[in-house]
Amino acid sequence: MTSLRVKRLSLDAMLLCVAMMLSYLEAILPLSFIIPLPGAKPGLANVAIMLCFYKLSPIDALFISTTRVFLSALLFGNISSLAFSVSGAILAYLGMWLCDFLGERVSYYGISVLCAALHNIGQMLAGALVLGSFSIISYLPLLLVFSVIFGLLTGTIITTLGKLRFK
Amino acid sequence: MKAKLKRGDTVIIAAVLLLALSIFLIFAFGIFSQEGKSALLTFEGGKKTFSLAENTEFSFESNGYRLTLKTQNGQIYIESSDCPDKTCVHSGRISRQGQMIACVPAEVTLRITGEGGAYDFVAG
Repeated sequence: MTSLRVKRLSLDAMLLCVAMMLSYLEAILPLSFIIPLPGAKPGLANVAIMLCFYKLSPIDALFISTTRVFLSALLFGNISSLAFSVSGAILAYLGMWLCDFLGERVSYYGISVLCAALHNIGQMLAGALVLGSFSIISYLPLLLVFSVIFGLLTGTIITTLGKLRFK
Repeated sequence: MKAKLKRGDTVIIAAVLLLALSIFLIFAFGIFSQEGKSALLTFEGGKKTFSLAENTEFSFESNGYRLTLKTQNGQIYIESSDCPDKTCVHSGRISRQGQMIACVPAEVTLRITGEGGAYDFVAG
């Protein structure tokens, strides 16, 4: 059905816009004044991607996630930030996929904590590879603690928004 | 509906925190850091740098206590101190970058110099 395909395309495009806007919001927010930690971000863009994954389909989420990573690197970042984001996004996507198998045993809270943690782990692994040194990973424990806090925050947002009808 | 915090969520959160703790501990014991080449001593009298390549012995006074440090086989340690708690002596030998020995009553720190601790750059 053509109309369904158009609807799906529009929904995907809209969620991609939301994800991009949230990435931009994170980039301009003076978060470092509140949390003096480089790299500690709430990961708001993940809200759009997770909603897409569970409300539309994993394929749509993969499309949005990939496009978002490349577009935000193009708009706000550079080549090395692209490498970090790609590995983070891939791991976070695998996390969502894994949680899909767990089904009702986990809620949006757990999934977003897992995705936030995996995103940070992916970024740090890419960083260690780029630098050729493991010393950057010493920063990971702090980021993981923050991913629990921010993951619960985004989980709350997703739980609230998840009550909306999407299709 | 996926609404409340479930057992799976608790498991995930616990796993993430446990991972954070274990990585922290791994780095606290300096497994990935490289062997340092020199050590920096700060005490009441100022600062002094020691090369780990040569074997030396150095006695100094700080805050009313007398301490002796030794370098041997690329490692450095506080051999003796007349401070009450002797934590610095019990800290043992250090050789890896970022490792440090502190003696609080004597206001002494001994640190292996080199990279580590500082962030190289920030990911976007």
